[in-house]
Parts: sequence; structure tokens; C-alpha cells
Amino acid sequence: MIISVTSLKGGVGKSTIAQNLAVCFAHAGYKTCIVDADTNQSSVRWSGLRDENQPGVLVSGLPDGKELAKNVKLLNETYEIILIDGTPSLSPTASKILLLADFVLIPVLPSALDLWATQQFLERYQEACEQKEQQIPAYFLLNQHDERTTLSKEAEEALHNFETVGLKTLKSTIKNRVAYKRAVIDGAGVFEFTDPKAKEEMVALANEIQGILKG
Amino acid sequence: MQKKSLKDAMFLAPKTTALPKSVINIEETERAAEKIHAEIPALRTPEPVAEITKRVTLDIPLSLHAAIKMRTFQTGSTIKDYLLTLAARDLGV
Repeated sequence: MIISVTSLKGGVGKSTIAQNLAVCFAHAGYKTCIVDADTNQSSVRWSGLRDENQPGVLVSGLPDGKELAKNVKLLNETYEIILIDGTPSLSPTASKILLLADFVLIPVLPSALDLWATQQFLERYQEACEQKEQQIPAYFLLNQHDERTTLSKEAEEALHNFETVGLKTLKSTIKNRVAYKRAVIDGAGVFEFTDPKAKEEMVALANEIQGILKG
Repeated sequence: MQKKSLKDAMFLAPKTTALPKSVINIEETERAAEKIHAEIPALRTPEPVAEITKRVTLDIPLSLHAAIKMRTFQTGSTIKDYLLTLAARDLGV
């Protein structure tokens, strides 16, 4: 099962979410790996810091996206869940990341810039669906969400408008927490960390995605 | 937005059944990505622009020249490409 964590905008938390989901899926018992297709290769660096006593998450770095399909196909023979940590660009690699996905996860921050990028993303997504001749299941994930702020509520409403074109919004949301930044330093996920609230929201997200994948 | 139930967030759902395997067609994926980027002008990869070059004349000791020549013969390269590759690798450019 291939989960592409992608967005046309940088800094939305793609790598953090890919790493944390990978940790959750590995703990749940799935053979999990990450394909790091982002040029900054932060997931590759994260894997180097990971404690060997924790469930293993292989991270394969493909910063230029060359032979992405071929390598993902090879990994698909061994791994049950492949998370592709995407690149925030309009490159052919970004299109391949969409075309390969069984499930597209699009992190969005509650900001106007993110929503504008989402509009652009929609065009790429529709082209990919057209070429693949099937709807690719795609879900928004509100990151750094704070339900008390008007901006977050407005972002939520704006994203719901995309449902008519097949892009749904997950009911799980991620808040802005220090635990995410701390966990990265240890090559860990918040599931293995001390902040129970961060762990709780990541578990909810992993369970929600598992539920959708299992149909 | 639907409310999350408490059990959603309490425990990580363990793997119970195997997930369906992805079906990947490499050729189809490559072809589709190529088509998307060929049809939309804004997505087309720009043609690489040849950078202006600077000519440099080097005096290389005969023994070193012979060694480089041997190496480039073995790798099917040229002295120019060999030296440029070494410099680019060293400088990380």
C-alpha cells in the first residue's frame, strides 16, 4: 500500500507526518518504509538517528526522483506500507508521486498561502487521475490546527469545498506541538515519545488512515 | 466535521489483516508523468541553457598525463571530462 504525503508547498509538515505515521504503522505490526523524494532528505537524516531497539523503518533516499516507480515497485515486494515523503515542486517527480499512490495525504496549514497552493495542487491531482484513468483517494490533513482560531475554522470550511472534486478532509487533525520537533532529534515518532496528547492525535490519525485503507 | 470517538485515540489499531498490495506499472507511470508535463507548458522542464565557458591551458607533468590518459581510456572518458568531474565533485557543484 503506497501512501504519498505530498503538497506543492514546502514547510507544511510532510516529512514530520510521514515519519510519525511510519512509526505508528511499524508499531502496529506493518513492514513499513519511507521513500524520501524531498531534496533536503530530512527523513534519511532522521533514520540515521533512530534507536535500533525501536521497530525498524527503512528510509530510501531518492532526492532527484530518478527511477522512482522502479524503486517503489521493488520496495512494494517487501514492504506492506510505503510512505513517499514528497517534493514541493511541479516536477515530473511530483506527478509520479501522485500516480503511484493508493492514498494521497495532503498536509495543509491554516493559512491563505496554503489554500492557494491547494488550488494549484488540485489541477495536478486531476491531471494525474485523468492519466491514471481512476480516482486516486486523496485526503487533506489540517496540520498546526487550533480549533479556537478563526483561521483554522475558515481553513476547515475552505477545504470542505474540495469534497465536490473528490478531495476529502480527514477528521483527525495535528496541532502545533513541541513534541514533534523533539521527536525528530531522537529519530523517533511522537508515539514513542513522552507527550501523551501528541501521541493520542497521531494514533487517531494512523487509525483513521488504517480504517480507510482497509475499506 | 465528524467528532472523533475516544477509542480512536486511545490505542493504536494493531495489524489484523494484510493490506492489499499495490499494483505498479512502471511504464504506465513514466508515460503518464511524461504526458502531464509535455502537455502543460508551465510544467515543461526548461531546456538546459549552456553556460559560458572559460578556456584554461594546463601544463601537466608527462607521468601524470600518461596516468590520466590510461584512466580515461579504461573508462571511455576524455581528459577534459575527467578533470571537470574531479573538480566538480571536490567543490560540490
